Parts: sequence; structure tokens; C-alpha cells
Amino acid sequence: MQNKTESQMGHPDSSGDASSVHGEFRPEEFSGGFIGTVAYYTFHWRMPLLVLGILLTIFLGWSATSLKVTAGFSKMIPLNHEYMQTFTEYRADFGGADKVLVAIKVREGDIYRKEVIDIVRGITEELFYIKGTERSSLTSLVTPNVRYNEVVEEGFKSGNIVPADFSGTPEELAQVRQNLLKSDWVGRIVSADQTATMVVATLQATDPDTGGALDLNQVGEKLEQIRTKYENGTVSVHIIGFAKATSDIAAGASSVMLFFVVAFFITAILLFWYSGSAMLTSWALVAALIPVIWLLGILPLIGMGLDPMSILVPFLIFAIGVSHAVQMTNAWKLETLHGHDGVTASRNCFLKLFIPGATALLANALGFMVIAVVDIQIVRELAYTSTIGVTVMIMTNKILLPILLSYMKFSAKTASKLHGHETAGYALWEKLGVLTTPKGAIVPLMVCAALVAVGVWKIGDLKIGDLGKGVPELRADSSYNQDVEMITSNFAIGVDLLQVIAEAPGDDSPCVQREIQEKVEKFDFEMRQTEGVAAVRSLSSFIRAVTQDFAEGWYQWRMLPESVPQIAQGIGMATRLGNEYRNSRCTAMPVSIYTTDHQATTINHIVDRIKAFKAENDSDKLTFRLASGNVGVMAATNEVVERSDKWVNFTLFASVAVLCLVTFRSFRITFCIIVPLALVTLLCNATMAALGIGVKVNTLPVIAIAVGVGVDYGIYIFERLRHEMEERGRSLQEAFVQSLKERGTASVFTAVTMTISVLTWAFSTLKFQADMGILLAFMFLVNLFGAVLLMPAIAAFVIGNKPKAKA
Amino acid sequence: MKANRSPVEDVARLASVPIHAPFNGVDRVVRGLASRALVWCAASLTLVCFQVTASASSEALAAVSRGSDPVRAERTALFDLVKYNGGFLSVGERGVVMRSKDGGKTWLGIQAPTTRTLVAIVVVNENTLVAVGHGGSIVRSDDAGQTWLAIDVPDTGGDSILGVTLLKDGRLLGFGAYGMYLVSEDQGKTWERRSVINEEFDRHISKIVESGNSLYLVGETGTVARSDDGGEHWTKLETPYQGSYFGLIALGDGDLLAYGMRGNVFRTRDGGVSWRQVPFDSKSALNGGYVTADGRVVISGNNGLVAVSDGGVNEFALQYVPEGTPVAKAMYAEDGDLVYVGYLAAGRLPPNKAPVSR
Repeated sequence: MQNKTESQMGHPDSSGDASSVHGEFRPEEFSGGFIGTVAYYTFHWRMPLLVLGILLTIFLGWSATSLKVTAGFSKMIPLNHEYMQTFTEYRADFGGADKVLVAIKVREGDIYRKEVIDIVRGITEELFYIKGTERSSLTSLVTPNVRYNEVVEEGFKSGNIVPADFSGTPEELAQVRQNLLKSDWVGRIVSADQTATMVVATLQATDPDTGGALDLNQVGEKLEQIRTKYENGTVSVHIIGFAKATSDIAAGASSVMLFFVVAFFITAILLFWYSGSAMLTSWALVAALIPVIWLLGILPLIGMGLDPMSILVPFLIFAIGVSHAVQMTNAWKLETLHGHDGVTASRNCFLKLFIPGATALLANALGFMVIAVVDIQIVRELAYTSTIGVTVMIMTNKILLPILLSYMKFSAKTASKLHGHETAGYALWEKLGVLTTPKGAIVPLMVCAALVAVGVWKIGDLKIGDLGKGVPELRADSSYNQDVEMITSNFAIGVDLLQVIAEAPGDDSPCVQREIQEKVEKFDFEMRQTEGVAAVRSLSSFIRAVTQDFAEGWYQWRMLPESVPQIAQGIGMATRLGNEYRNSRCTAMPVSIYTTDHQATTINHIVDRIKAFKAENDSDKLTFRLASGNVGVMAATNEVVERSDKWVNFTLFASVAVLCLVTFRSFRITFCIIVPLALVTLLCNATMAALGIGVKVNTLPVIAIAVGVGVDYGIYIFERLRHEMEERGRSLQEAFVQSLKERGTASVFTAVTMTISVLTWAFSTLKFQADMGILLAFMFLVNLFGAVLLMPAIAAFVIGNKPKAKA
Repeated sequence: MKANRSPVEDVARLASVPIHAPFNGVDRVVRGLASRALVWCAASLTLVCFQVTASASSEALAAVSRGSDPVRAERTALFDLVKYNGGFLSVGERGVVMRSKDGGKTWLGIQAPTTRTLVAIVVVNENTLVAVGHGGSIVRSDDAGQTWLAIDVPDTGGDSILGVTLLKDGRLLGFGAYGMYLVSEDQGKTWERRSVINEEFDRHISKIVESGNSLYLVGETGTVARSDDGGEHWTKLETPYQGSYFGLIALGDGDLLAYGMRGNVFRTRDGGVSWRQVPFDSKSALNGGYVTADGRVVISGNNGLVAVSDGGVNEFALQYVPEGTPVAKAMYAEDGDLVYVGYLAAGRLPPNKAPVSR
């Protein structure tokens, strides 16, 4: 891509006519004012500017080669949220949500076979040597921390489930089965029907060699190698865990490149059909690619990478770039059709399009920037990346492209021979003029009212958060989510975990106090009764189980003892399990709440219950703090998203309105532009509700992006329309038709092109990319209808058909 | 732009909007009024949209969250099961008392005034219920379990009361940890602690049953004792087993069945003088049991075990509840299903289910 750009840009430079046009600009040829001055200097210095542009592109293209696709757990979580502070505070003690679970499922029979135990041992060893594994956390049938504990008449008897000297004799296998039944590991590392077993490990957050963040993609690859190595006719291997999900998502994200290529070719074909000129087509593509190269080059320079979410941004920038380049090449061709030479055409285009183009791009930038109000790193990076992208586009598209075009020669005769479709739809535009009369406006306004009604009715179903099962970023039928399904249906463990930290301040192990444990027991009990909770694990229920064991296994004794020594005895047993139930000072006890799913309704209900419990039970001695675990992260994210949703919309519309006010200095025009956008936003939310797409981190930016991009049409059309009404004294209807003739066709074309481009995402293996693609395509297209059909109807009432003097 | 007339009519016809001449006349007035109205309508509409968007989800969720979630039997540690008024009663952790009126299909829970775990309940008469538990807890209801009162029991020292037995003469016996032995002569309103066997006896008492004119007691480390004077004096009996007994069942014919840890079941046919082990194919701790009207014994144990004997109590067929957790007790419902309760386990097993090997 870089070489192509280079050679194409090099062409006009080497054609030799540069010097002949240089110096022929005189300031008086340019209208006064700011734009005239900018235009004069732009064209006066066009040669150095062009060279500078080429050099910059080459440099940034080189810099782009060092761009990395990054993904990190902490980027996806709202670190400043109250819950996530708990999460961060106790992450070192209780581990993150960063577990790797490898399930070995036998295809026939049960796991009590030598070859299966050998596979378990093999996978356990492989996991041991994966960089970043917390080795002490390794848990499987063959690790020493998996023991059985048996109550016999003389006391306790315990041992490893698989004896250290296991050689695979039938007697030993029968012994393994017996040992397992005596232990509480059935359901945890062996499935209830004993046809599957698991190897579990916790990953460290940091790379033990470098001290930097652990490369989850690398871990994911290693895990995939384990699957390939051990899966055979006897067993199937299923792997889940954050690292695996991350690397699967990253793999899916890189398939975006394919969509980029597809979109590029579709765009090229459409452009050629539209302009009829290979030259204009390639310049439009080049002009759209340059900001992408600049963006990708700038990112490594400012120390940023692309993550699976912002990987879509270059794509979007390309689509927006094409949209603006088409306005420019379209205008340039119309100018040449009027008999102007390349330079004059270019200069006129610059004068005509710089204001609306730069305004529209600023609106884009604003739209992207407001997404940064969402306090989640991954969303912020999306905001920064796309803001940088559209900002450089003002440079590349509004300055570099006219300069490039000014070197082009295109006689009116040649131009007229080209069979482009720029003037297509003139007949339609003439007819649409009627929308600007009060009578003609009635139909679109009524349709609009009906759509608002439908939208308001449907929007009640809109949900916050994820609605599906499994990892929401991946599709339900992806191999990862199928593995999740397999593991959750075979093992009595949930993958959706909400951890609440019971915090008891004090110096001498406050957790041994009965009043503390009694409250934890109460919390455990109430959580178990809560709808949406599958299982609860807490120190108090562990103490109860230990108490039963010490009472010779009689169930009647499964209770929280009265005295401190007896409670301490239970906690002493808990210390053998590492930090699963308490920290080393015993001032914090995580209560693990496994939820039935991670739908927002489920999470909210549970969180509401916890908050109600806190309100009644939190004291100086014991507080229950939300929240850790993946569901804790989701709860926090949902709360941030819900809170930000209003803010994003408000800030977005406020800033776009201010921008329109500044540009047009008219409340009426601003109103005409904003209302269709608001309608489309409403419809987008309604569509999300209808399609079952929840408001979440991934969809939150969609509306901002779509409004930012959608406002372009309004700005381009109104800029022309006002010009026609004020400078030429035309009526609203005439002015509207004229604006559509000049800008409408290009707008329709770009809307269609961008829609098709983003629609290719719908085929992504990543569900959120597919969701974003569908929603953006919807918004891009409906925005156009809003601008062409609804906007004039509103203008009919708000602006009126009389030519207006400049406000 | 007069040429636009025809498209106007086209559009108007399409939308079936008749064009009236007066419309043009009031054009200006309409526009003046309409423009203002439109501005305000649209502006307020936009605001409404955002409000709706913002609040829709949270309101929908709030609706779901109202009210508290009921106590579920299968999510509660339950420790006893008794028949009551054609249904069942159960007690469990944190003072939960549960009642089923439909043979164990559905349960309704109520919180008795204790945070301690209740482990046994006895039906004293139609309306009076007494439940006992850990921490020296006794609660009592006089209105068929609708309201409960905590009973102040002297001299328990907070030790566990593990069971309660109603005698034919109407007295109630409570028993439990470290030789706890309590007697109530007023249907559980007041209790008195007495010594049992001798002053030094400090073993846990697991169960006391009445058989014929005698009382029998089993407990920790092979403890078995008999009283022929209604519990005033007890005689220790020798058994072949030195592990702990967790339960004792008086079979209809005067025989007794003692059971305990690691699948040990012993039977005596001579009032406790001699004991013989009953074959039992499990090493699980046996938690609770009862004898049916037709002489079969049902014993429940850890690891989800439910064992049902033949009519002569010569052998047991084993089955397991799906939860796999300790089962406290299982009893036949009127329709023949086995109703069970236990650790986060409650449900029904179909009758005559073939034993499941484990």
C-alpha cells in the first residue's frame, strides 16, 4: 500500500509541469477572508506542501510497520469504577479472573484409563512450562494439591488422588475412582458423570522475564498447540480462559484485513462506475488511503497500538476519506466540465469545499472525541485513534487532494466523453424540491412522526450489557464459546463469577470472630437464594464443611461453630488452599458468587440484592465490597456504559449543534440538521432493541460515529443551500434542488459506498464487529434518507421559502 | 419552477393528501405557527427520546428487582424431615423452617428467631412444633409453624442440641453435644438439663428413641445406653463397633437398628444385648433414617446416598440424589416418591429406581 501511494504521488511531481504553474497565483485571485488566505498560501506553496506530504507519508508508512495489535485485560475494564478499585486492590491476593481451564473429554467410556491419565499428566506438564503460569496454582488429577480427605474411625486419612507411583494398573485406576469419590473434587476437576477432567492454572499478570504485561496472544497460541498435540480419537480437548479468549479475539480481529481488502475493491469499482475515470478513482482512493497511513504511522510514534476494537478505525477512516474525496473529485470534474483547467478547477473546489469539508470533518472528530467520556481505556483509545484519523484527514483530504488535482489535466472534451454518473439523479433531485414546500413536507413529517412513535415504543426493550451466552466478543457458535458450553455443562463450575470481598479490618485475624463469620454466612445464604445465582463459595461455608469433617463426617455438624478455636481450625484448613478463601492476614474474604449467565438483567438483580444487603449489614467491623471476577467487571462496565450512554448522546448533540451554529450562525439551519440525526439515533436504538443487541462498550461508539459521519450530509447540503439563497437570491426550493444537484449525488454515492464497506464487517468472526457493522451500515444509510428527505421538509417550516438576507 | 406542480400532485396523490385551495391561502399563517410549534415539539421530542433511552433499561431492571427472593429448599442446608398434616416440615441453617403441602414438590420457608442452624424438628400436636439446633437453640410454634418463639434453655453453654424426641407420655427429650440431655414436661415451653448415664459422661448423644417400655440412646465412639425408667437411670450397653453412631431406629417388632459412620449398620433383636452388622455397600456417613409403615427402612447419607431396605431389613438397595451432597433424610410421600432434603439438596426420587452404582 505504501509503495503504491508513493509511486502514484510521485507521478505529478515528475511530470515536469510543476514549475510552469508555480507562481501564477496572485492573492487577488482569491476571495478575501480567512479561506481565501488559506487557499492562496496552499496553492502558492503547493509544490513544497506536496513534497512535504509525500515525505510525511513515506515516513509514517515506515513507522506504521512497527504498529502492534495489542489487547490487555485492564484496557477493557473501567479502572476508576468503585468495583474495579476493589478488583485492583485485591487482584494480587485473590488473583485476577485470569484462569486457564483445559478440559479433557473422553469420547467413549470414562476417564479411568491409563492413556487418559497420561494425557492429563502431559497437559499438566505443558501448562507448567507455559510462560506466565502461576505454578503453584496448577490443579489437576495429578497435582499434589488435589487430595482426598477421608474420615475414618481413627481420625483422618488423606492422600493424593492419583498416587505418585501410578503406573496404570486396573487396581490403581479403581483406587483413583475411589479416592475421587471420597474427595470434593467431583464436579470441580472431574465431571459429575466422570467422562471429563480438567487441568486448571492461574496466569500471572506480568511476564516473569520482562516484568511487562504478559503476552496473552502467545499464551493462547501455546494453548492451541496443546490442543493440537493431545486431541485424538480417544479424547477431545477444550480450552477456555481469558488468555485463550483474547488470542481468539485477536485472531478474529486480524481477519479484518480481509474485509479491508474487500471493501477497498468494492469502493474502487463503485468509484470507477461513478466517475467513469480511472484517474479520479485512483486519486480518490489515494486521498482516502493517505490519512489511514498517517494514522497508522502516528500511533506507534505516540506509543499506542491497535486493539481488536479500534482495529476498525482505519477502516472507518478510509470510508470517511472516500466520502470526502468523492465530494472533491466530483466538484473538480463538474468544474472541468464547465471548461476550467485543472488548476482553476482545483482552486474553485478548494474554495467551495474547504469550509463544509473541514466543518464536517471537525464534526466527525467531535463525534469521536465525545466517546472519550466513557471511562474505559479501550473506548478511549478508539476515541483517540479515530479523532487523530479524521483530524489528519483535514490535512490530507482538504489540502493535499486539491493540490494533487491541481496538477491534473483534464480537458472539458475528455471529461464530457467520460461516462460517469455524477449527474445521475438530477431528475429525482428536481422532484425532491417539492419537499421544501409545506404541502410536500407533510408526508415526510408524518412518516417521521410515525417512525418516532415506533422508535419510542421499541426502545423500551433496549438492554444494557450483553444478552448472549459465552464470551460476548465471539459468536455463539465459535469454537471458544462451544468449549465454554461444554465445560459449563460438564462441570459444576461457573465461568461467570462475581466476587464480593468481605473486608474485616483489624490486626489479629479478625476473620476468626464468630460475628464476622456469621455475617459472611448470612451473605452466602442470601446470595444462594437470589435469582440468577448458580452457586456460592465462601470461607464460612468452607468452615462449616470442615466442622462436619472433624465431627466424623456427620452432616448434622455442618454448621458454623460457636468458639474461636473451632472456627480457626476451619480457617487453618482453608490456608492449605492458598488464597481462595481469605488473604494471609485474614482481613479479607472473597465470597465467590457463580451466576447462571452474564445477562445484564441477571447481573443487575444480583448487584441490587448485594447493595440491599450492604445497606443493612455493613458495619465498622465488616464491609462487603463489590466486586471482582468477570461478572464484577461486567457489572462495573454496564454501570459505566449506562451512565455514559446519556453523556455521550448529550455531549455529542451539544457539540455538533455548537459546531453547526458556529458554521452557519443560524439556529434554524442547526435545527434542520440536528433533528434528522436525533431521529436516526432513536431509530438506531430501536433497531438494537429489535435485533437483541445490547448497549455495551462495543456499541456505545456506534451512535457517536454515525452521528459524526451523518452530519456531513446536512453540512454539505446546507452550506450550498445557504449560499444559493443568500448570494443568488434563490427560493428555498430552487436552492435545495441546486444543492442536491451539486452535492446530493455525491452524498448518495458516498452513503452507499460507506454502507457497503461497513456491512462487510457483518461477516466478521467477532460478534461485536458484526454488530457494529450492521448498526453503522444502518445509521449511514438512514442518515442519508434523513438528510435528503426529512431535512428539506423541516426546512420548509423552519426556514421558509423566501430568500433570506445573511443573518 | 412552475414545473414542480406535477411532482407536488404526484407526491400528494401518493400520500392521499387532498390539495385544497384554502391551504395555499393560509400558507403563511400555517408556516408561522407551524414553524414555532415544530421547533418546540421536535426539541421536546428529542429530549424525551434521550430520557426514554436513558431510563428505559434501568426501569425495566428495577421492576425485576423489587421484592425479595424467596428461600428455596434446594439452595438451603436442611437437616431434618418430618410428616405434618399430609405434608412435610424441614429445618435448616440460620433458623429456616420449611413446609411443603404438596408432598415435597414445592416448599415455603419461614425464618425462626435464631441465626443458628436448626437440625431437628418434632410435631408435638396438631399446632405445636418444636425445633432444636446448634448454639443451644430451641424454637417453638403454637400456631402450626406460622410464628415462632425462641426458648431460653438453661445450662446448655451454647452447646449443640442435635435432636429432640417426643415420648408417649408427652414429655420431650432434647439431646446433643457433650452429654447434653434436656427434659421438657410442658410441650417444650421450659426445659431442664439433667445428667445422663453418669456425671462424667461427656460424649455427644446422637439419638434417643422409645421402644416398648424402654428408651435407647446412641452416640459418639460406640456409645449405646438403655433406660427402663423413662430416662431417670441409664445403663451403658456393649456393641461390637467403637466408631460413632449417628442414628437409631425402633423397628416395629421391638428390634433396633443403629447406624453411623462409614456405612456401619447394626441390628439388635434382644433389646441391645447383642448386635449384628447389616450388610451395607457404602462407606458414606449415614445421617438419618426412618422406618415405614410396612417395615422398610430408609437411611440417607453423604455423597447423595439414599438406601432403602427390604421389608425384613436384611439388605439395602442404594441410590443417589443428583446433587451428590449429604442427604439428611428421605421419606416416602403419599404418591410413592421418595422426598429428600440435605445440603443444598431437596427433591423427589421416583419409586423403585434401580440402584445406581457409584
